[in-house]
Amino acid sequence: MTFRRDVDATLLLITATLTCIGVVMVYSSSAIMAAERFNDGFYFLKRQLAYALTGCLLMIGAAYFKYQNWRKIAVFSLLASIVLLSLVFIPGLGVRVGGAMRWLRLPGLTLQPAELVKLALVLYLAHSLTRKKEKVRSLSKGYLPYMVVLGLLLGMLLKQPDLGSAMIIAGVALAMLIVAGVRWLYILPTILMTLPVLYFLVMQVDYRRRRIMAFLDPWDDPFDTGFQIIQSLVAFGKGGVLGQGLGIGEQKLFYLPEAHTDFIFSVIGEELGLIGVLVVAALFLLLVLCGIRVALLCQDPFGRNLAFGLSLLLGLEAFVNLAVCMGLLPTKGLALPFISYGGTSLVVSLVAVGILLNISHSVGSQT
Amino acid sequence: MGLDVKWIELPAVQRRFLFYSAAATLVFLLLLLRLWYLQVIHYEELQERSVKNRTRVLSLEAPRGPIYDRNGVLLVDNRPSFQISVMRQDVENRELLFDALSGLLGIEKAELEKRWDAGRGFPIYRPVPLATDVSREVMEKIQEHSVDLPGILTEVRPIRDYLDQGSTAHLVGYLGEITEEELARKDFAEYRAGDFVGKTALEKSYEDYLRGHKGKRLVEVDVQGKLLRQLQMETSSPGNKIFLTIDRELQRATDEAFGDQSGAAVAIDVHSGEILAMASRPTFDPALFAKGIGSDEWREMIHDKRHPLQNKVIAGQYPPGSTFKMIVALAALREGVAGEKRIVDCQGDFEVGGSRYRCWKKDGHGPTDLRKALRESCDVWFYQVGLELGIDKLSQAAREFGLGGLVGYPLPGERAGVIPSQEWKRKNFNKPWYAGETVIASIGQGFVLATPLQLAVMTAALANNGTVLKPQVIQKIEDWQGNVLFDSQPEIVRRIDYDPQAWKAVRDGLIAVVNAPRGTGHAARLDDITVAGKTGTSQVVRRKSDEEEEEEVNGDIPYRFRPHALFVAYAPAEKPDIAVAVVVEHGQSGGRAAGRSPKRLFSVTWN
Repeated sequence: MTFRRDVDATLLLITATLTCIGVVMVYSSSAIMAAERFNDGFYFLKRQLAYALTGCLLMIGAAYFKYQNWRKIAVFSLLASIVLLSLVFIPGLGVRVGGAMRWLRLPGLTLQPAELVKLALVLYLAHSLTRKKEKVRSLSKGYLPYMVVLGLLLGMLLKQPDLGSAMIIAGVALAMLIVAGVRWLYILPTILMTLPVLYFLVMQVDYRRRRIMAFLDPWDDPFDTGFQIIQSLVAFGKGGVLGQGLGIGEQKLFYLPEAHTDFIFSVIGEELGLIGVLVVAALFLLLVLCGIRVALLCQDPFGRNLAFGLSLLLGLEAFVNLAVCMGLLPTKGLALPFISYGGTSLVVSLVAVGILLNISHSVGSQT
Repeated sequence: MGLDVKWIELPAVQRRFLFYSAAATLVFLLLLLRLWYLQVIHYEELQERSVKNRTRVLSLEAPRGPIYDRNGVLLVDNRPSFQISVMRQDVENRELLFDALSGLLGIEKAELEKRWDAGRGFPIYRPVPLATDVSREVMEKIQEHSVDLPGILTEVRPIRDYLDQGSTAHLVGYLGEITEEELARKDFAEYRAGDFVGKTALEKSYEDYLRGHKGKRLVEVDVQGKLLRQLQMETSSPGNKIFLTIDRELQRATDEAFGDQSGAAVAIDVHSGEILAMASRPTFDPALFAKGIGSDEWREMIHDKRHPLQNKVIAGQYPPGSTFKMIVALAALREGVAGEKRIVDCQGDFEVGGSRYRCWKKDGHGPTDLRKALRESCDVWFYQVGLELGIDKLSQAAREFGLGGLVGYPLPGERAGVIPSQEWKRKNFNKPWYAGETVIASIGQGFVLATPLQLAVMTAALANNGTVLKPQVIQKIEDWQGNVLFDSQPEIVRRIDYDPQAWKAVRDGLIAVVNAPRGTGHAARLDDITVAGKTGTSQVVRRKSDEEEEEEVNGDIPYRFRPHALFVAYAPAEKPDIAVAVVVEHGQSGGRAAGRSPKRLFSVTWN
């Protein structure tokens, strides 16, 4: 019984710490901008707090919701999230921000359906892979149907366009298929076939090509395309080992765009230094390891697939965001789970942890 | 967190999980290496870069939309002005800086300190303005000395330029610095402290149309704050163009007719309700507000007894005097109280309820019919007919013509005037109505009050056979690329029905006022077109205490007790196009003082 309590407590503690760091850093990185734009320095803080509270309630709900029951609504939730994703393209419902239609305005709330799709896809894959058992090794009954579903989702995400989410979804889906036993024989050719498509997608769209070029050599055009990356690197450099101190950072003032969303990790780098950054990165690593351990010890195939998919989803998102901020990957426009400002991402991440907690609990009661 | 299970014993699925755990840990180590590289090894290099990183985001002001007259003549535009600001984070010694700057700008050191402090709430990287609209010479001197003035910036800012010397100041309104209360409001979300916004009239009501969208410039500067190069730019887009219904030539003529007298005049198109000219005197110079008005100048303006800031066309309420008689005449004809041929014998005074009411002509007009009563403005005829008509019928007729209520001026500040009735008096004074009050109301005195705009709308309705029109001031709004956003359409408030005979009788009377021998409105007569009009002289209410205070000097009435002079007119009388109402405050006699203005206006129109 002590085992169960350990995992529960570790997971919960990591999540709570990350969410708290998020709330503090959202305030630190947005206060001045918010004071100027909305005349209310607490503008983003208040909202992030509200999202965090909502997310925590839903997380507790998910932790008490028997995870096997997710199987009953897995297909439905995927379909529902696809519908929401398609609503983004309807003028009046979809909100265009900086050329991309990623938000959905419903009465009373604004949603980012791509975040919901990620969770729904993991639920669906865990359910479906469990149901098919050994059939996943077949091409026509196992592999191809998944590729159709995945292809549809990726197509819609690229239409928004949201290349970052598309890559996360593809990565998580492929990893779940491999763990479930789909043969490399099918997966490798698929990856090879998509490479030219990916190349075309990137090079065809001017802003993506420029981002890639800027990523390869930011100092080549330091004031235009390389600007974000350089400012992000400068933020880390200014932070040094100990950081400038919470709230003292200057990069967020206007050098660093999206300081409270996509580049919040750079603000952490500047204000809390190497130490702060290491703590955050280590927390994410621990979160993933905890998740994988839940999967490893779960005897139920559905629970195992689900726990693996969820930990991978959170881990991959965190990794990509961290790598972008450190100049290891081209800029993508992805949120850092638990920390970046944004309601849908925070709530979905917390619900994912809630599901993990429930699986972990059932593992505990088995032993 | 050690996994105490033996690798060999694990099934394939679990081995895969272990593989992923190892992968995740590896990835983490990779990130760790990168961080070490950035924050420890390259710390100094990046640190140095951040010091050199003197990029700055400058906001590009969007030029405010220009304002034109109806023919596209520019009335209000923008011109570049030089502003001296300080970047506080770059200042090392404030005392030294202000010593040098005070001489160059000709501004006291204490004043500079005050302006620096005014920017205390600004984010540290936002320049604080020290001097606005400085001359080119001063700007050049500052730039020459820029090495000794670290942190000082010269910025170019568009400022409102009033090409019509403020003749449309009351209509257009003025700008002022945005207040904290305004900044807090949602509709001002795009503004920052230090921005100028419309404070009154058109500039305020059409703020959304007039302001453009700001752009941004990302620039690199050296230690002195000197611009090295531009890195990125997002252009601003100017505000929309507003075309007024005003005709600048008519506006100028109306203005000039006042000389140094105060009062108000307004001319409207009788077909569309468009205001062609509106003058309120004395006026003010909106340019004073454009650069930020001093507190002394402001105090002087609001304490001026002649109220330069008030738009008297819409907010000045005057007893309409004899100009009101056209309403009494029409109502009497409609109600059958008196026909055109009704004769009243005027002996110079009139008695009712034990009080005597005088005609302006002491000796009386003798036997008088409607036409003569209008032409010579005989008061006794109207006392008699008004009394027979009764206040409630008179009040109803006046209200139909737009008096006693808002006529729908499209900008704020309009006042309703007063048209009394029995019920009105009961409500406001809790007293019954007296017959004597009907008598003086019949000559537009007593409780009756009207704005010049109401009188113009009334006159236009007489000229166009009873169509009461909503006054318009905006003809058209175009965006800066010429797309039309708004195009005004005439709006009819109501149509008033009168017998054609009744219209003709009153109009003939008004033609006689200006053109016939002994008419009171000769001053407005023109040779080539026929003007119809009505004069008015309205008593200014004196309180008893006032009379005791101020004695009449040399037979002259003190200025503030002199009666107001009024004139309403339309032309050409045969087929009217324009209606005018003029009030000259304390102008003594309607015919002479107020007649000049319509005359100038009509002669400018038809020359």
